[in-house]
Amino acid sequence: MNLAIEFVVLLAVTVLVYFLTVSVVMNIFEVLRRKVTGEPSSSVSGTFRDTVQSYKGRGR
Amino acid sequence: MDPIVLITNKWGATFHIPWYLFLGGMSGGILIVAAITELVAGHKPRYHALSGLSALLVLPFMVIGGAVLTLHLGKPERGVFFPLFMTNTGSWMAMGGWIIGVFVPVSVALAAAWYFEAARIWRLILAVVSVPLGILMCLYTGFLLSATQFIPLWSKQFLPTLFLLSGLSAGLAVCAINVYVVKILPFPPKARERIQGVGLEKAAPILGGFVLLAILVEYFWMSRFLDALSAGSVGERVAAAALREGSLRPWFLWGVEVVGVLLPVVLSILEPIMKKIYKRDEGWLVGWPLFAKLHLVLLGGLLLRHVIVWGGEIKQPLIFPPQKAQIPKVSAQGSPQALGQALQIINRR
Repeated sequence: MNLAIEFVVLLAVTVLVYFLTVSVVMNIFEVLRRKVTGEPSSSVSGTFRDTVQSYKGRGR
Repeated sequence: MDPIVLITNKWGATFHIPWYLFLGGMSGGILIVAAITELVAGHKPRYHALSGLSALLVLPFMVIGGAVLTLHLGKPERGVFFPLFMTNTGSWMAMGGWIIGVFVPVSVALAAAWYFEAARIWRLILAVVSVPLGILMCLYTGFLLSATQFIPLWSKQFLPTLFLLSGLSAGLAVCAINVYVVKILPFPPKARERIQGVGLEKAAPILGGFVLLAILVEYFWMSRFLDALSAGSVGERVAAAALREGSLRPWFLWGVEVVGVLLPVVLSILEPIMKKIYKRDEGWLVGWPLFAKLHLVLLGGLLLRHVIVWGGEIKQPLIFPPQKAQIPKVSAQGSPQALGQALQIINRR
């Protein structure tokens, strides 16, 4: 039983870390890209705002 | 420094070690898939994106794998600062630390090469470096166990290749799942446009086909491994019996063979049949066999690691006649010279 609980917890943590890490790394890449190309809103908050807007507007 | 004692019966008591072996092997498989995709079809935007987004998967899985391994260590600081503590460069544990130390940054670099649209020559160089690193990562998880002596199931001859094949099938499966999942992740607008514009999900059935090939080769290798155990020494025959009719049988039969191999093969056959019946190529109605197959392969890979770690309980019996069991008397007892002398006397008998 303990092993089953441990499996569920580890699976949930793995999926959560996957979602977080992949999203965060992608946004870091975007911040760096904007800084290199000198695009406007190249700050972390600017990129984050654009990501949130794009996420809310997905599928439209 | 306190001595390190390896108590293998603790390894299967929690998820730490099997989970690490699974995530490590799967990450190796992911990098092999990402690198080969870049080498073979990186000039096409769809497969270039598949390569970059797959390589990005290595980081989270190695973070989790590294964390569970570190939490399992009696002295976690030795794992974190392994270059200082693990000076025995010939051991697979130390070599594994160095492999991971190179493997993870290279995988992130391959992902960055996609995102920053690096020149093809740089992507090819990274891919060429990544293939052997991915293979080494998969093999290392096998060598790590098989370096332990007197455990028949942790065979140096079969286990590293079995983990390589299992890592490859799991890597292919998780890369195929990832092409659907990346569409719902909060990515920056530019990344979202690039992913949506290339029809990434069309790569999933191709990866699914390679998963089938990988699990069939893996099953063939597993059968050879079992046959070799059955024809081997007393301990090897005991290990084979434990898998075929003993305490490990339910996990091996239902977990590894049925969940990890048989059901995915059946679902692979069902895939084209469903498409023919419903006369369409996309959608849940025809896509569920592929989706189920990919998850079952992952579960089978994890259970294989569990069975192998649990099988570490079965030790090779030491055939030692009673007359050889007496400890010979030597001069200067307790010194290294005395130990060498004693071993020489035993060997001469």
